[in-house]
Amino acid sequence: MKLAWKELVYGKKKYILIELLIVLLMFMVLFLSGLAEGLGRAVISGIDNMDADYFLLSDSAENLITVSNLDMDVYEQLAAQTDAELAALDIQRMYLSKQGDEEKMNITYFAVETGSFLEPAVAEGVQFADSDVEHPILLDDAFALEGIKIGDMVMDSSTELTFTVIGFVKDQMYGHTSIGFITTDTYTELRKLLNPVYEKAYHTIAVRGGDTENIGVDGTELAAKADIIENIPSYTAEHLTITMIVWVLVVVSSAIIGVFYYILTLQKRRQFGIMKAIGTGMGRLAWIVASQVGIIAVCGALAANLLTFAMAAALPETMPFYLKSGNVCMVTAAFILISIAGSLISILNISHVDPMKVIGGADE
Amino acid sequence: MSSYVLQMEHITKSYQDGAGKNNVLNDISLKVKRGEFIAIVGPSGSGKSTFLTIAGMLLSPDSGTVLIAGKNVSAAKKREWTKIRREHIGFIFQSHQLLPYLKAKDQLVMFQTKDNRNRINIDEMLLELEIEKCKSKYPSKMSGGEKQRVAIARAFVNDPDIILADEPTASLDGARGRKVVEMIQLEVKKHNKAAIMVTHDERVLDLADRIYYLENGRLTE
Repeated sequence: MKLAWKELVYGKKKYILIELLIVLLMFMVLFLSGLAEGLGRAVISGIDNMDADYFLLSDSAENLITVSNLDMDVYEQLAAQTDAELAALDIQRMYLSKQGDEEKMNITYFAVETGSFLEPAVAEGVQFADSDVEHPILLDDAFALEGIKIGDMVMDSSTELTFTVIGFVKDQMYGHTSIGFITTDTYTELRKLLNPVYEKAYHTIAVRGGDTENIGVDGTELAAKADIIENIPSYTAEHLTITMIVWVLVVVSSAIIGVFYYILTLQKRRQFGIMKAIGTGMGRLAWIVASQVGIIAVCGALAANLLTFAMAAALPETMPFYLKSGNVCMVTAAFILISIAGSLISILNISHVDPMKVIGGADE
Repeated sequence: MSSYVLQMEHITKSYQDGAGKNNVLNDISLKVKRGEFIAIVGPSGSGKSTFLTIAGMLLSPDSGTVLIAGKNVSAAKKREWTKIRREHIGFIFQSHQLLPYLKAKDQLVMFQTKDNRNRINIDEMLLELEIEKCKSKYPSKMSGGEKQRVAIARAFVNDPDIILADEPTASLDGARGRKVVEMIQLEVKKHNKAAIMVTHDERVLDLADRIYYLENGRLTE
Protein backbone atom coordinates (compact mmCIF):
# COMPACT_ATOMS: atom_id res chain seq x y z
CA MET A 1 0.00 0.00 0.00
CA LYS A 2 2.85 2.37 0.89
CA LEU A 3 4.58 1.59 -2.37
CA ALA A 4 1.34 2.05 -4.29
CA TRP A 5 0.75 5.41 -2.64
CA LYS A 6 4.32 6.63 -3.21
CA GLU A 7 3.95 5.91 -6.90
CA LEU A 8 0.69 7.86 -7.08
CA VAL A 9 2.33 10.81 -5.31
CA TYR A 10 5.35 10.74 -7.62
CA GLY A 11 3.20 10.65 -10.72
CA LYS A 12 0.65 13.12 -9.40
CA LYS A 13 0.19 15.03 -12.64
CA LYS A 14 -0.61 11.89 -14.57
CA TYR A 15 -2.86 10.44 -11.93
CA ILE A 16 -4.67 13.70 -11.26
CA LEU A 17 -5.58 13.84 -14.93
CA ILE A 18 -6.93 10.31 -14.77
CA GLU A 19 -8.74 11.25 -11.58
CA LEU A 20 -10.27 14.25 -13.26
CA LEU A 21 -11.64 12.06 -16.01
CA ILE A 22 -13.06 9.64 -13.47
CA VAL A 23 -14.68 12.46 -11.50
CA LEU A 24 -16.31 13.85 -14.63
CA LEU A 25 -17.56 10.45 -15.74
CA MET A 26 -18.87 9.59 -12.30
CA PHE A 27 -20.45 13.02 -12.05
CA MET A 28 -22.22 12.39 -15.32
CA VAL A 29 -23.45 9.04 -14.06
CA LEU A 30 -24.71 10.44 -10.77
CA PHE A 31 -26.22 13.47 -12.42
CA LEU A 32 -28.06 11.29 -14.88
CA SER A 33 -29.23 9.00 -12.13
CA GLY A 34 -30.52 12.09 -10.29
CA LEU A 35 -32.34 13.22 -13.41
CA ALA A 36 -33.73 9.73 -13.96
CA GLU A 37 -34.99 9.64 -10.42
CA GLY A 38 -36.26 13.20 -10.74
CA LEU A 39 -38.19 12.38 -13.90
CA GLY A 40 -39.55 9.31 -12.20
CA ARG A 41 -40.58 11.43 -9.23
CA ALA A 42 -42.46 13.74 -11.59
CA VAL A 43 -44.63 10.76 -12.46
CA ILE A 44 -45.05 9.06 -9.11
CA SER A 45 -44.17 11.33 -6.20
CA GLY A 46 -47.79 12.13 -5.35
CA ILE A 47 -48.50 8.44 -4.80
CA ASP A 48 -45.04 7.51 -3.53
CA ASN A 49 -45.22 10.14 -0.76
CA MET A 50 -48.50 8.70 0.52
CA ASP A 51 -48.25 6.93 3.79
CA ALA A 52 -50.42 4.08 2.49
CA ASP A 53 -49.63 0.38 2.11
CA TYR A 54 -52.44 -0.78 -0.17
CA PHE A 55 -55.08 0.62 -2.43
CA LEU A 56 -58.48 -0.90 -3.05
CA LEU A 57 -59.59 -0.61 -6.67
CA SER A 58 -62.35 -2.04 -8.81
CA ASP A 59 -61.08 -5.29 -10.27
CA SER A 60 -61.45 -4.18 -13.87
CA ALA A 61 -59.14 -1.23 -13.27
CA GLU A 62 -55.91 -3.22 -13.66
CA ASN A 63 -54.19 -1.24 -10.91
CA LEU A 64 -54.94 2.10 -12.54
CA ILE A 65 -56.45 4.43 -9.96
CA THR A 66 -57.98 6.78 -12.52
CA VAL A 67 -60.11 4.08 -14.15
CA SER A 68 -61.23 2.52 -10.90
CA ASN A 69 -64.63 3.33 -9.49
CA LEU A 70 -65.87 2.32 -6.05
CA ASP A 71 -69.42 2.82 -4.82
CA MET A 72 -69.94 4.64 -1.54
CA ASP A 73 -70.95 1.49 0.33
CA VAL A 74 -67.61 -0.19 -0.40
CA TYR A 75 -66.08 2.10 2.19
CA GLU A 76 -68.36 0.78 4.93
CA GLN A 77 -67.83 -2.85 3.87
CA LEU A 78 -64.11 -2.33 3.95
CA ALA A 79 -64.20 -0.65 7.34
CA ALA A 80 -65.99 -3.71 8.72
CA GLN A 81 -63.29 -6.07 7.41
CA THR A 82 -60.15 -4.42 8.72
CA ASP A 83 -58.69 -2.43 11.62
CA ALA A 84 -56.32 -0.65 9.25
CA GLU A 85 -56.81 3.06 8.64
CA LEU A 86 -58.70 3.94 5.48
CA ALA A 87 -58.78 7.07 3.34
CA ALA A 88 -60.58 7.77 0.10
CA LEU A 89 -58.78 9.25 -2.88
CA ASP A 90 -59.90 10.62 -6.22
CA ILE A 91 -57.56 11.65 -8.97
CA GLN A 92 -58.63 13.97 -11.76
CA ARG A 93 -56.51 15.64 -14.36
CA MET A 94 -57.70 19.13 -15.35
CA TYR A 95 -56.53 22.65 -16.19
CA LEU A 96 -56.16 25.52 -13.83
CA SER A 97 -55.71 29.22 -14.37
CA LYS A 98 -55.04 32.19 -12.18
CA GLN A 99 -58.09 34.36 -11.77
CA GLY A 100 -58.12 37.04 -14.44
CA ASP A 101 -55.51 35.21 -16.46
CA GLU A 102 -56.08 33.30 -19.70
CA GLU A 103 -53.10 30.98 -19.36
CA LYS A 104 -54.01 27.42 -18.50
CA MET A 105 -51.79 25.20 -16.38
CA ASN A 106 -51.89 21.44 -16.16
CA ILE A 107 -52.96 20.17 -12.80
CA THR A 108 -53.97 16.87 -11.30
CA TYR A 109 -56.46 17.11 -8.47
CA PHE A 110 -55.97 14.71 -5.63
CA ALA A 111 -59.19 14.77 -3.68
CA VAL A 112 -58.77 13.64 -0.08
CA GLU A 113 -60.87 13.83 3.04
CA THR A 114 -60.01 16.61 5.46
CA GLY A 115 -57.55 15.35 8.06
CA SER A 116 -57.11 11.89 6.51
CA PHE A 117 -53.64 10.40 6.37
CA LEU A 118 -53.51 11.18 2.66
CA GLU A 119 -53.59 14.93 3.29
CA PRO A 120 -49.96 16.04 2.92
CA ALA A 121 -48.27 18.25 5.48
CA VAL A 122 -47.95 21.79 4.19
CA ALA A 123 -44.54 23.35 3.66
CA GLU A 124 -46.15 26.78 3.87
CA GLY A 125 -49.69 27.83 4.77
CA VAL A 126 -52.32 25.83 6.65
CA GLN A 127 -53.97 22.40 6.49
CA PHE A 128 -57.61 21.95 5.37
CA ALA A 129 -58.83 21.71 8.96
CA ASP A 130 -57.36 25.09 9.87
CA SER A 131 -58.93 26.87 6.96
CA ASP A 132 -62.48 28.19 6.73
CA VAL A 133 -62.56 29.19 3.05
CA GLU A 134 -65.16 27.60 0.82
CA HIS A 135 -62.98 25.69 -1.65
CA PRO A 136 -59.49 25.33 -0.22
CA ILE A 137 -56.64 23.98 -2.35
CA LEU A 138 -53.08 22.97 -1.44
CA LEU A 139 -50.77 23.36 -4.41
CA ASP A 140 -47.45 21.76 -5.25
CA ASP A 141 -44.79 24.42 -4.83
CA ALA A 142 -44.12 24.36 -8.57
CA PHE A 143 -47.16 26.64 -8.83
CA ALA A 144 -45.47 29.15 -6.54
CA LEU A 145 -42.92 29.64 -9.32
CA GLU A 146 -45.81 30.58 -11.64
CA GLY A 147 -46.43 33.53 -9.37
CA ILE A 148 -49.27 32.05 -7.32
CA LYS A 149 -49.29 33.06 -3.65
CA ILE A 150 -51.17 31.91 -0.58
CA GLY A 151 -54.59 33.58 -0.51
CA ASP A 152 -54.80 33.82 -4.32
CA MET A 153 -57.89 32.61 -6.10
CA VAL A 154 -57.39 30.06 -8.85
CA MET A 155 -60.01 28.76 -11.25
CA ASP A 156 -60.69 25.36 -12.70
CA SER A 157 -60.77 26.02 -16.45
CA SER A 158 -63.67 23.80 -17.51
CA THR A 159 -66.09 24.38 -14.63
CA GLU A 160 -64.95 27.88 -13.63
CA LEU A 161 -65.10 26.74 -10.01
CA THR A 162 -62.72 28.87 -7.97
CA PHE A 163 -60.41 27.67 -5.21
CA THR A 164 -58.55 29.60 -2.57
CA VAL A 165 -54.88 28.69 -2.20
CA ILE A 166 -54.35 27.95 1.49
CA GLY A 167 -50.86 26.47 1.30
CA PHE A 168 -48.08 24.84 -0.64
CA VAL A 169 -46.77 21.27 -0.44
CA LYS A 170 -43.42 19.98 -1.60
CA ASP A 171 -42.59 17.35 -4.24
CA GLN A 172 -46.12 16.35 -5.18
CA MET A 173 -46.49 15.31 -8.81
CA TYR A 174 -48.43 12.76 -10.77
CA GLY A 175 -47.91 11.81 -14.43
CA HIS A 176 -45.65 14.84 -15.09
CA THR A 177 -48.19 17.31 -13.72
CA SER A 178 -48.16 19.12 -10.41
CA ILE A 179 -50.80 18.16 -7.94
CA GLY A 180 -53.42 20.33 -6.29
CA PHE A 181 -54.97 18.75 -3.20
CA ILE A 182 -58.64 19.51 -2.72
CA THR A 183 -61.20 18.11 -0.30
CA THR A 184 -63.57 15.35 -1.31
CA ASP A 185 -66.48 17.77 -0.88
CA THR A 186 -64.96 20.27 -3.28
CA TYR A 187 -64.31 17.43 -5.68
CA THR A 188 -67.93 16.28 -5.58
CA GLU A 189 -69.05 19.82 -6.40
CA LEU A 190 -66.61 19.96 -9.26
CA ARG A 191 -67.87 16.68 -10.70
CA LYS A 192 -71.45 17.81 -10.38
CA LEU A 193 -70.66 20.94 -12.36
CA LEU A 194 -69.22 18.77 -15.09
CA ASN A 195 -71.99 16.24 -15.00
CA PRO A 196 -75.22 17.13 -13.19
CA VAL A 197 -76.17 13.46 -12.70
CA TYR A 198 -72.85 12.60 -11.01
CA GLU A 199 -73.23 10.43 -7.93
CA LYS A 200 -70.58 10.56 -5.27
CA ALA A 201 -68.08 7.69 -5.60
CA TYR A 202 -64.40 7.08 -4.95
CA HIS A 203 -61.62 6.15 -7.34
CA THR A 204 -59.79 4.26 -4.66
CA ILE A 205 -59.50 3.74 -0.94
CA ALA A 206 -56.03 3.80 0.55
CA VAL A 207 -55.28 1.36 3.35
CA ARG A 208 -52.65 2.03 6.01
CA GLY A 209 -51.70 -0.95 8.18
CA GLY A 210 -51.09 -4.65 7.75
CA ASP A 211 -54.52 -5.99 8.70
CA THR A 212 -55.62 -7.04 5.21
CA GLU A 213 -56.36 -10.77 5.60
CA ASN A 214 -60.12 -10.42 5.74
CA ILE A 215 -60.46 -7.80 3.06
CA GLY A 216 -62.64 -8.99 0.23
CA VAL A 217 -65.27 -6.80 -1.34
CA ASP A 218 -67.04 -8.08 -4.45
CA GLY A 219 -65.78 -6.51 -7.65
CA THR A 220 -62.69 -5.03 -6.01
CA GLU A 221 -59.06 -5.85 -5.71
CA LEU A 222 -56.40 -4.85 -3.20
CA ALA A 223 -53.12 -3.73 -4.74
CA ALA A 224 -49.82 -2.95 -3.02
CA LYS A 225 -48.53 0.60 -3.36
CA ALA A 226 -45.54 -0.60 -5.42
CA ASP A 227 -47.86 -2.22 -7.98
CA ILE A 228 -49.91 0.94 -8.26
CA ILE A 229 -46.76 2.98 -8.85
CA GLU A 230 -45.52 0.60 -11.52
CA ASN A 231 -48.82 0.90 -13.35
CA ILE A 232 -48.90 4.65 -13.50
CA PRO A 233 -48.90 5.26 -17.27
CA SER A 234 -45.40 5.49 -18.78
CA TYR A 235 -43.58 5.18 -15.47
CA THR A 236 -42.12 1.69 -15.89
CA ALA A 237 -41.08 2.22 -19.49
CA GLU A 238 -39.41 5.56 -18.79
CA HIS A 239 -37.78 4.41 -15.62
CA LEU A 240 -36.40 1.22 -17.09
CA THR A 241 -34.83 3.02 -20.04
CA ILE A 242 -33.10 5.66 -17.99
CA THR A 243 -31.99 3.18 -15.33
CA MET A 244 -30.43 1.08 -18.04
CA ILE A 245 -28.55 4.08 -19.44
CA VAL A 246 -27.23 4.85 -15.96
CA TRP A 247 -25.95 1.33 -15.43
CA VAL A 248 -24.36 1.15 -18.86
CA LEU A 249 -22.54 4.37 -17.97
CA VAL A 250 -21.40 2.93 -14.64
CA VAL A 251 -19.88 -0.04 -16.42
CA VAL A 252 -18.35 2.13 -19.15
CA SER A 253 -16.67 4.48 -16.69
CA SER A 254 -15.28 1.63 -14.63
CA ALA A 255 -14.03 0.01 -17.81
CA ILE A 256 -12.22 3.23 -18.67
CA ILE A 257 -10.16 3.01 -15.48
CA GLY A 258 -9.45 -0.61 -16.34
CA VAL A 259 -8.20 0.29 -19.80
CA PHE A 260 -6.12 3.18 -18.50
CA TYR A 261 -4.48 0.94 -16.00
CA TYR A 262 -3.85 -1.69 -18.59
CA ILE A 263 -1.99 0.84 -20.73
CA LEU A 264 0.03 2.05 -17.73
CA THR A 265 0.83 -1.55 -16.88
CA LEU A 266 2.08 -2.27 -20.37
CA GLN A 267 4.42 0.71 -20.05
CA LYS A 268 5.69 -0.56 -16.73
CA ARG A 269 6.29 -4.18 -17.66
CA ARG A 270 10.04 -3.77 -17.19
CA GLN A 271 9.58 -2.30 -13.71
CA PHE A 272 7.40 -5.22 -12.75
CA GLY A 273 10.01 -7.57 -14.20
CA ILE A 274 12.70 -6.00 -12.01
CA MET A 275 10.51 -6.23 -8.94
CA LYS A 276 9.83 -9.87 -9.69
CA ALA A 277 13.55 -10.53 -10.25
CA ILE A 278 14.50 -9.10 -6.88
CA GLY A 279 11.93 -11.35 -5.26
CA THR A 280 8.66 -9.42 -5.09
CA GLY A 281 5.83 -11.93 -5.04
CA MET A 282 2.84 -11.76 -7.35
CA GLY A 283 0.56 -11.21 -4.37
CA ARG A 284 2.28 -7.97 -3.50
CA LEU A 285 2.32 -6.79 -7.12
CA ALA A 286 -1.39 -7.53 -7.46
CA TRP A 287 -2.06 -5.63 -4.26
CA ILE A 288 -0.12 -2.61 -5.52
CA VAL A 289 -2.22 -2.40 -8.69
CA ALA A 290 -5.53 -3.18 -7.01
CA SER A 291 -4.95 -0.65 -4.24
CA GLN A 292 -3.94 2.06 -6.70
CA VAL A 293 -7.07 1.47 -8.74
CA GLY A 294 -9.04 1.34 -5.50
CA ILE A 295 -7.63 4.68 -4.31
CA ILE A 296 -8.33 6.33 -7.66
CA ALA A 297 -11.84 4.91 -7.87
CA VAL A 298 -12.78 5.78 -4.28
CA CYS A 299 -11.38 9.33 -4.45
CA GLY A 300 -12.99 9.90 -7.84
CA ALA A 301 -16.34 8.60 -6.68
CA LEU A 302 -16.28 10.70 -3.51
CA ALA A 303 -15.33 13.85 -5.39
CA ALA A 304 -18.07 13.18 -7.94
CA ASN A 305 -20.57 12.67 -5.12
CA LEU A 306 -19.62 15.99 -3.53
CA LEU A 307 -19.87 17.71 -6.89
CA THR A 308 -23.27 16.16 -7.60
CA PHE A 309 -24.74 17.08 -4.22
CA ALA A 310 -23.35 20.60 -4.50
CA MET A 311 -24.88 20.85 -7.95
CA ALA A 312 -28.19 19.48 -6.72
CA ALA A 313 -28.31 22.18 -4.06
CA ALA A 314 -27.74 24.84 -6.69
CA LEU A 315 -30.27 23.56 -9.23
CA PRO A 316 -33.52 25.46 -9.74
CA GLU A 317 -36.62 23.95 -8.15
CA THR A 318 -38.31 23.26 -11.47
CA MET A 319 -35.51 20.91 -12.57
CA PRO A 320 -36.67 17.33 -12.14
CA PHE A 321 -33.67 16.25 -10.11
CA TYR A 322 -33.84 13.92 -7.17
CA LEU A 323 -30.98 12.10 -5.45
CA LYS A 324 -32.03 8.99 -3.64
CA SER A 325 -29.22 8.11 -1.22
CA GLY A 326 -29.82 4.38 -1.68
CA ASN A 327 -29.43 4.70 -5.44
CA VAL A 328 -26.37 6.91 -5.16
CA CYS A 329 -24.69 4.47 -2.77
CA MET A 330 -25.43 1.55 -5.06
CA VAL A 331 -24.10 3.30 -8.17
CA THR A 332 -20.98 4.44 -6.30
CA ALA A 333 -20.29 1.02 -4.79
CA ALA A 334 -20.85 -0.74 -8.12
CA PHE A 335 -18.48 1.69 -9.80
CA ILE A 336 -15.73 1.06 -7.25
CA LEU A 337 -16.17 -2.70 -7.32
CA ILE A 338 -16.23 -2.95 -11.12
CA SER A 339 -13.13 -0.73 -11.31
CA ILE A 340 -11.21 -2.97 -8.95
CA ALA A 341 -12.42 -6.04 -10.83
CA GLY A 342 -11.15 -4.37 -14.02
CA SER A 343 -7.66 -4.11 -12.54
CA LEU A 344 -7.53 -7.89 -12.77
CA ILE A 345 -6.72 -7.59 -16.47
CA SER A 346 -3.63 -5.59 -15.57
CA ILE A 347 -2.71 -8.04 -12.84
CA LEU A 348 -3.04 -10.92 -15.26
CA ASN A 349 -0.71 -9.12 -17.63
CA ILE A 350 1.86 -8.59 -14.88
CA SER A 351 1.70 -12.26 -13.96
CA HIS A 352 2.90 -13.04 -17.48
CA VAL A 353 5.96 -10.79 -17.23
CA ASP A 354 9.07 -12.96 -17.29
CA PRO A 355 11.68 -11.56 -14.90
CA MET A 356 14.39 -13.36 -16.90
CA LYS A 357 14.12 -10.67 -19.56
CA VAL A 358 15.67 -8.03 -17.29
CA ILE A 359 19.06 -9.74 -17.36
CA GLY A 360 21.27 -8.96 -20.29
CA GLY A 361 18.92 -6.55 -22.00
CA ALA A 362 20.45 -5.91 -25.40
CA ASP A 363 23.23 -8.38 -24.72
CA GLU A 364 21.56 -11.34 -26.34
CA MET B 1 26.77 -27.18 5.50
CA SER B 2 29.03 -27.02 2.53
CA SER B 3 31.54 -24.20 2.42
CA TYR B 4 30.29 -23.23 -1.00
CA VAL B 5 27.33 -20.84 -1.21
CA LEU B 6 26.79 -21.47 -4.88
CA GLN B 7 27.50 -24.72 -6.66
CA MET B 8 26.59 -25.21 -10.29
CA GLU B 9 27.23 -28.67 -11.60
CA HIS B 10 27.19 -29.85 -15.22
CA ILE B 11 24.86 -27.15 -16.40
CA THR B 12 23.78 -27.31 -20.03
CA LYS B 13 21.37 -25.06 -21.83
CA SER B 14 20.57 -24.88 -25.48
CA TYR B 15 18.19 -22.90 -27.63
CA GLN B 16 16.48 -23.92 -30.79
CA ASP B 17 18.22 -21.95 -33.49
CA GLY B 18 16.52 -22.39 -36.82
CA ALA B 19 16.97 -26.01 -37.80
CA GLY B 20 19.95 -26.61 -35.54
CA LYS B 21 20.53 -26.43 -31.84
CA ASN B 22 22.64 -23.74 -30.26
CA ASN B 23 24.43 -25.01 -27.18
CA VAL B 24 24.77 -21.83 -25.17
CA LEU B 25 26.10 -23.54 -22.07
CA ASN B 26 27.81 -26.87 -22.43
CA ASP B 27 28.49 -28.80 -19.23
CA ILE B 28 29.48 -25.88 -17.05
CA SER B 29 30.46 -26.29 -13.38
CA LEU B 30 31.32 -23.54 -10.95
CA LYS B 31 31.72 -23.33 -7.17
CA VAL B 32 31.80 -20.09 -5.26
CA LYS B 33 32.81 -19.66 -1.61
CA ARG B 34 31.77 -17.03 0.87
CA GLY B 35 33.80 -13.85 0.50
CA GLU B 36 34.80 -14.68 -3.06
CA PHE B 37 34.36 -12.16 -5.88
CA ILE B 38 34.33 -13.80 -9.28
CA ALA B 39 34.30 -12.17 -12.69
CA ILE B 40 33.06 -13.87 -15.83
CA VAL B 41 34.08 -12.38 -19.16
CA GLY B 42 33.27 -13.37 -22.66
CA PRO B 43 32.32 -11.94 -26.02
CA SER B 44 28.75 -10.84 -26.49
CA GLY B 45 26.42 -13.68 -27.27
CA SER B 46 28.67 -16.10 -25.40
CA GLY B 47 25.91 -17.02 -22.97
CA LYS B 48 26.95 -14.84 -20.02
CA SER B 49 23.40 -13.67 -19.50
CA THR B 50 22.00 -17.17 -19.78
CA PHE B 51 24.53 -18.29 -17.21
CA LEU B 52 23.48 -15.51 -14.86
CA THR B 53 19.76 -16.17 -15.24
CA ILE B 54 20.31 -19.82 -14.37
CA ALA B 55 22.45 -18.95 -11.34
CA GLY B 56 19.85 -16.36 -10.37
CA MET B 57 16.88 -18.73 -10.38
CA LEU B 58 15.26 -16.98 -13.31
CA LEU B 59 15.67 -19.82 -15.80
CA SER B 60 16.01 -23.55 -15.44
CA PRO B 61 18.89 -25.40 -17.12
CA ASP B 62 18.26 -28.30 -19.51
CA SER B 63 20.33 -30.48 -17.22
CA GLY B 64 22.60 -30.10 -14.22
CA THR B 65 22.02 -28.95 -10.67
CA VAL B 66 22.22 -25.64 -8.86
CA LEU B 67 22.83 -25.54 -5.11
CA ILE B 68 22.44 -22.31 -3.21
CA ALA B 69 23.67 -22.29 0.39
CA GLY B 70 23.92 -26.05 0.23
CA LYS B 71 20.29 -26.49 -0.85
CA ASN B 72 19.47 -28.09 -4.17
CA VAL B 73 17.22 -25.45 -5.68
CA SER B 74 16.99 -27.07 -9.12
CA ALA B 75 14.29 -29.26 -7.68
CA ALA B 76 12.24 -26.31 -6.41
CA LYS B 77 8.96 -25.57 -8.10
CA LYS B 78 8.77 -22.47 -10.25
CA ARG B 79 6.51 -20.63 -7.86
CA GLU B 80 9.02 -21.01 -5.04
CA TRP B 81 11.67 -19.29 -7.13
CA THR B 82 10.54 -15.81 -6.20
CA LYS B 83 11.00 -16.59 -2.52
CA ILE B 84 14.43 -18.17 -3.16
CA ARG B 85 15.52 -15.07 -5.05
CA ARG B 86 14.24 -12.83 -2.30
CA GLU B 87 16.02 -14.74 0.45
CA HIS B 88 19.27 -15.84 -1.13
CA ILE B 89 20.13 -13.69 -4.13
CA GLY B 90 20.98 -10.03 -4.60
CA PHE B 91 20.82 -8.66 -8.13
CA ILE B 92 22.71 -5.74 -9.62
CA PHE B 93 21.50 -4.99 -13.13
CA GLN B 94 23.14 -3.48 -16.16
CA SER B 95 21.70 -0.03 -15.67
CA HIS B 96 20.59 0.55 -12.09
CA GLN B 97 16.89 -0.38 -12.71
CA LEU B 98 15.65 1.60 -9.75
CA LEU B 99 11.97 2.43 -9.55
CA PRO B 100 11.55 6.03 -10.72
CA TYR B 101 8.98 6.88 -8.05
CA LEU B 102 11.01 5.98 -4.96
CA LYS B 103 13.60 8.08 -3.14
CA ALA B 104 16.94 6.36 -2.60
CA LYS B 105 16.20 5.25 0.93
CA ASP B 106 12.75 3.97 -0.01
CA GLN B 107 14.29 1.91 -2.81
CA LEU B 108 15.83 -0.11 -0.01
CA VAL B 109 13.20 0.16 2.73
CA MET B 110 10.37 -0.95 0.45
CA PHE B 111 12.13 -4.16 -0.52
CA GLN B 112 13.72 -5.13 2.76
CA THR B 113 11.92 -8.05 4.36
CA LYS B 114 10.87 -7.82 7.98
CA ASP B 115 13.43 -10.36 9.18
CA ASN B 116 16.30 -8.32 7.82
CA ARG B 117 15.31 -5.00 9.34
CA ASN B 118 17.44 -5.61 12.40
CA ARG B 119 20.27 -7.34 10.58
CA ILE B 120 21.01 -4.80 7.90
CA ASN B 121 21.13 -1.13 8.76
CA ILE B 122 20.15 0.83 5.70
CA ASP B 123 21.52 4.17 6.85
CA GLU B 124 24.88 2.60 7.60
CA MET B 125 24.98 1.04 4.16
CA LEU B 126 24.16 4.33 2.45
CA LEU B 127 27.06 5.87 4.41
CA GLU B 128 29.47 3.11 3.37
CA LEU B 129 28.55 3.55 -0.26
CA GLU B 130 28.96 7.34 0.09
CA ILE B 131 25.41 8.04 -1.05
CA GLU B 132 23.86 9.18 2.23
CA LYS B 133 23.30 12.61 0.68
CA CYS B 134 21.06 10.98 -1.94
CA LYS B 135 18.80 9.48 0.72
CA SER B 136 15.78 11.57 -0.20
CA LYS B 137 16.49 12.07 -3.86
CA TYR B 138 14.56 10.47 -6.67
CA PRO B 139 16.65 8.50 -9.24
CA SER B 140 16.09 11.24 -11.81
CA LYS B 141 18.07 13.64 -9.57
CA MET B 142 21.05 11.31 -9.05
CA SER B 143 24.13 10.73 -11.20
CA GLY B 144 24.65 7.40 -12.95
CA GLY B 145 27.24 6.29 -10.39
CA GLU B 146 24.99 7.22 -7.47
CA LYS B 147 22.09 5.31 -8.97
CA GLN B 148 24.20 2.21 -9.47
CA ARG B 149 25.41 2.46 -5.87
CA VAL B 150 21.82 2.59 -4.64
CA ALA B 151 21.25 -0.52 -6.74
CA ILE B 152 24.22 -2.16 -5.03
CA ALA B 153 22.75 -1.32 -1.64
CA ARG B 154 19.43 -2.80 -2.78
CA ALA B 155 21.17 -6.06 -3.68
CA PHE B 156 22.54 -6.34 -0.14
CA VAL B 157 19.48 -5.24 1.76
CA ASN B 158 18.05 -8.69 2.39
CA ASP B 159 21.34 -10.22 3.51
CA PRO B 160 21.62 -12.56 0.51
CA ASP B 161 24.05 -15.47 0.17
CA ILE B 162 25.14 -14.49 -3.27
CA ILE B 163 25.30 -11.31 -5.33
CA LEU B 164 24.84 -11.50 -9.09
CA ALA B 165 25.94 -8.48 -11.09
CA ASP B 166 25.04 -8.16 -14.74
CA GLU B 167 27.47 -5.75 -16.47
CA PRO B 168 27.32 -3.25 -13.58
CA THR B 169 29.65 -0.83 -15.38
CA ALA B 170 27.88 -0.86 -18.74
CA SER B 171 26.20 2.52 -18.36
CA LEU B 172 29.12 4.27 -16.65
CA ASP B 173 32.39 5.83 -17.79
CA GLY B 174 35.71 4.25 -16.84
CA ALA B 175 36.42 5.98 -13.53
CA ARG B 176 32.86 5.75 -12.24
CA GLY B 177 32.56 2.16 -13.39
CA ARG B 178 35.69 1.24 -11.50
CA LYS B 179 34.42 3.01 -8.39
CA VAL B 180 31.17 1.03 -8.56
CA VAL B 181 32.99 -2.28 -8.86
CA GLU B 182 35.23 -1.25 -5.96
CA MET B 183 32.09 -0.69 -3.95
CA ILE B 184 30.75 -4.13 -4.83
CA GLN B 185 34.11 -5.61 -3.81
CA LEU B 186 34.07 -3.65 -0.56
CA GLU B 187 30.59 -4.82 0.38
CA VAL B 188 31.32 -8.40 -0.63
CA LYS B 189 34.38 -8.52 1.62
CA LYS B 190 32.78 -6.65 4.48
CA HIS B 191 29.64 -8.78 4.64
CA ASN B 192 31.47 -11.91 3.60
CA LYS B 193 29.22 -12.63 0.60
CA ALA B 194 29.90 -14.45 -2.60
CA ALA B 195 29.56 -12.47 -5.80
CA ILE B 196 29.60 -13.20 -9.51
CA MET B 197 30.01 -10.34 -11.91
CA VAL B 198 29.44 -10.73 -15.61
CA THR B 199 31.31 -8.07 -17.56
CA HIS B 200 33.28 -7.26 -20.66
CA ASP B 201 34.97 -4.29 -19.04
CA GLU B 202 38.56 -5.51 -18.75
CA ARG B 203 39.67 -2.49 -16.70
CA VAL B 204 37.91 -3.75 -13.60
CA LEU B 205 38.97 -7.39 -13.77
CA ASP B 206 41.88 -6.84 -11.35
CA LEU B 207 39.33 -6.28 -8.56
CA ALA B 208 38.00 -9.83 -8.84
CA ASP B 209 39.51 -12.78 -6.97
CA ARG B 210 39.12 -15.14 -9.89
CA ILE B 211 38.37 -14.56 -13.53
CA TYR B 212 36.60 -17.02 -15.82
CA TYR B 213 36.22 -16.89 -19.57
CA LEU B 214 33.05 -18.05 -21.17
CA GLU B 215 33.39 -18.97 -24.80
CA ASN B 216 31.64 -21.49 -27.04
CA GLY B 217 29.63 -22.73 -24.12
CA ARG B 218 32.67 -23.57 -22.04
CA LEU B 219 33.93 -21.93 -18.89
CA THR B 220 37.72 -21.68 -18.39
CA GLU B 221 39.70 -20.04 -15.63
